[in-house]
Amino acid sequence: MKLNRLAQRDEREPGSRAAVYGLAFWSRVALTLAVSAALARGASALDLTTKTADGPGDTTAAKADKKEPAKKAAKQDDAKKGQETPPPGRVVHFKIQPFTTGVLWQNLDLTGNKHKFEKYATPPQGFALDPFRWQPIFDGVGYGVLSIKGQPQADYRVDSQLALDHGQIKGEAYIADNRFFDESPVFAPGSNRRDYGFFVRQNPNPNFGISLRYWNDQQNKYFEPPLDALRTRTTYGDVVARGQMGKGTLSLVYNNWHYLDRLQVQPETNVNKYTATYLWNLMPNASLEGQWQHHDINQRLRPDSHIDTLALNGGVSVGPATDVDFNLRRDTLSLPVVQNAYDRERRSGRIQLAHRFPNWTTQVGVSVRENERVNADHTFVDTPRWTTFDGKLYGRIGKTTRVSLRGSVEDLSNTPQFQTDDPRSLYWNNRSRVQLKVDTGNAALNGYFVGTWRRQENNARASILETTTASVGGNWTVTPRLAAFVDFTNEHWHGVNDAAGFPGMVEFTPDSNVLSLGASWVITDRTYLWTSWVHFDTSNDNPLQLASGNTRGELITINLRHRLRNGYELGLVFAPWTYRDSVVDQMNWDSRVVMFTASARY
Amino acid sequence: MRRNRVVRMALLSVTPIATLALLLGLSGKAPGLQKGPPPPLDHWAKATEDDYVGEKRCAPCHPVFADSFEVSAHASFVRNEHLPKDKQGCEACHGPGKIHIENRNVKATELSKFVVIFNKLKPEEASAVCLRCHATTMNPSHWRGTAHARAGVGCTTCHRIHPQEPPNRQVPPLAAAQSEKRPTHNDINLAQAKSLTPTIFPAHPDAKLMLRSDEATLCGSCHHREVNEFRQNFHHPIPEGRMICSDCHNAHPTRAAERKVELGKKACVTCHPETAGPFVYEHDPVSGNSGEGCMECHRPHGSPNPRLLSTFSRGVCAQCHSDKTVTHFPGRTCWQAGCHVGVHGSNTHPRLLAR
Repeated sequence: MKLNRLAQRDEREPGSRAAVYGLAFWSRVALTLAVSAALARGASALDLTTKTADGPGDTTAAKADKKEPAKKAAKQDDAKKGQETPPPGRVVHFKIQPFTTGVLWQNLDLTGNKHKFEKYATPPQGFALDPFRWQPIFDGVGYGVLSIKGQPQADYRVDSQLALDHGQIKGEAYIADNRFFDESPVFAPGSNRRDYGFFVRQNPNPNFGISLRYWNDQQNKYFEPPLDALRTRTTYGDVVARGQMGKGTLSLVYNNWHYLDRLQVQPETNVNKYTATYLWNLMPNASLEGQWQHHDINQRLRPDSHIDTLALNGGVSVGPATDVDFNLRRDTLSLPVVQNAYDRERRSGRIQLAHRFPNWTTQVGVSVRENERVNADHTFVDTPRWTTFDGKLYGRIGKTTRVSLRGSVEDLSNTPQFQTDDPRSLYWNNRSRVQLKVDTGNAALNGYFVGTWRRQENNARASILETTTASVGGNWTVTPRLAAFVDFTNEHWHGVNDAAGFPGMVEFTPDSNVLSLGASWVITDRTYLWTSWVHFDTSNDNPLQLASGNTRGELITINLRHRLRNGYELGLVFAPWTYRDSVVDQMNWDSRVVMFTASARY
Repeated sequence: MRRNRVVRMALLSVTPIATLALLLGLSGKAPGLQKGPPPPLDHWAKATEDDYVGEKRCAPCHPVFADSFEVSAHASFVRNEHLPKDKQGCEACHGPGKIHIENRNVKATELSKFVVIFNKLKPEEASAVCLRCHATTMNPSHWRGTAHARAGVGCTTCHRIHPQEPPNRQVPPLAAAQSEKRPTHNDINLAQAKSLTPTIFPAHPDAKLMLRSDEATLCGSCHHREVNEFRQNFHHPIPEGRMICSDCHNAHPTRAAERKVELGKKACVTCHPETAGPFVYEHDPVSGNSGEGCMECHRPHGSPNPRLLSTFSRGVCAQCHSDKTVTHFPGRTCWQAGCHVGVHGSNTHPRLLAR
């Protein structure tokens, strides 16, 4: 019966399917809002929301004011009589200027692989608005921000935010439109993405809030063949009701996520998620939180899938400086769509102990995760289990040095069986990680070091993947007007497995370096100069002679700004950037960006 | 293997030490309920109705902060007369004013006994004040368990309540204003000039209201390694100003109405919905069966390899499918060669030969 209804529903045109999903979503939104409003009203009627105070003394003054307004007025008069006169010479710090208009003119002077340069966005060429901004202050009501920047003909971006105090309502809205390219020099149409949405929240009382969010994301992505294009539209909406109830906080959430592939390579997917969470403050130093969550996943012409989640989290301060936290979670997955191996249940638990010494904090934890993995023909269930031990030690040495050391070790037991050509395990059976961070220095000279080591092993295949990363850097304030910074990161990768011959795993694990140097100089009180040089390079055996395997980039940026007495600003940017691919010359590009900017506030 | 043993031994040796330390800590003061709220919440606990004087009494002595507060997002909220007195005006954050006025001439080191001064508070104490009102954003017990809280990061580490200028500028606090000395024109101009100091990535979106700076600069002031990852050849477009850190990360883990979508996988699905599935033929690492999900193959901040992959080309597949490294149709990557294009899952073929 259910499948018949499914088939009938899905025989409709895509447009009307979207309308049906939209109607279903908004009707659920209305129902959730109605339930939330009823709960809020019920909580107020039972006076549950006012009993639990955020802090002590919250209701004392308010209750006294309500009971004796005449006394309140009399005491206000007494307070005014004792008021001091303002001291002389009061400095008005600044004048509110709600409008900002900025324009820029830019010449990219771009040669070579323009697609690589324009990979992330199409920077404006010629004149562009950057930005127009309006920040009104509504006396006693609220504030707002509206910001628009970009070029109208090729790429524009609008961000807006508005907040109103009327009825404790806050609203936001945004829209963004981007155009970008796959990095390949081979011709491919430009990709674009349009993303817009809004968010509204109201707090009927200080301890309870209801919010509504919606966004729409349309993407048209084109890649170098043979990768298929993606033309998709995704919508998301949620309703959240959250507030204090009894001795805790109740949260009710409904989400809807809808995915449409216009090329119909992927099935149209609609997901409804329902979440209920209650955080119970047992006592000031102990809390317990329970969560129930349910996913309904509907795909066109397919049976429905479901995911149910139960979670229990808690924490207690067993001493003035000692905390214990635990998490338990179980996911039950019903995925009749999946025809190869999948998890039908996931269980995890974690306990963590943290203790604070005068200058140090130590933290140790144990996590266990176990999956029930059903094999492809549903004849066998494996239960792989991952056990993780982790620890962290962080604190101060002296007054100016902070140190953090942390590590974890994860082991896999009950390795699942695989029905692939090579039946040996495909999972890492051991992962280890250690990280050391040191920050030291004072306001004039400070530096940092971050060292990370990570290793993954699959003993069944004698596979090892290991990486070592070192980052070092610092800031030096030479004079109050002159400062410099340096950052350097080196990554070293090493990978091996039991496959004999060439090319092996070791040939595909590149090393890389990133070096940044820069300085800022406040030339006068209204003029400053900022420069930076960023260098990155990749060292790779690259046996298949592929693009983007051995690359080098030099990015120099010089930024000069001057602020006029009336608050207007002028700017000049010169940025000669180069990018080289050691193997595939067609990937190279050069750019000498020259940009003039001007902005006014009024 | 040897290094792994070393790491394991190190951890095994740290653990009993830590356990001993914990036992010592537990054997100290007896745990139990505190009598009354801890400081600085005790400022409000001890107050009566008469102790609240209204924010107009504050401005004459604190003109700079009173001026700057006009453009704070809090201003319109705390001036709502329907709120309880202890949540109105300056006293909502700094405590009842009467006792501070009566004791304003005490030594500077004694001032904090009579008024809440945020730069004298520990991060967790400052956060407790904020959470008096922002209970729907973050519960105190949730906040205590976050990595930021344990690392000594409080609300005021990232958020600024008294902007010295409208929030589209990044302005360091004026030293003169903080000491209540009347700022001279030179002080103001130098501070404004310093406000032109660039952020970590110049093409940044405007800083959100109430944040001290744009997110990349704010987060990058501690997360140095991640900043350098974004300078790699391939990266999510944070340096280009097309994304911000909170598009993926949530500094307030319990905040409701998140934009990010999980659906059983990581938040990557929010912008990369084509990987969400469920697929007829799942790829274990993508569906999260092997543990890391998208991070099995990708490095989300930045990578020297295309598509933010952790290793280059066939290395991504070879790290698990070791038998295919050498002999399996050498040439291009496993997906660029036109074969295994359904790497995130396939609806048509068990070997992921098509999407």
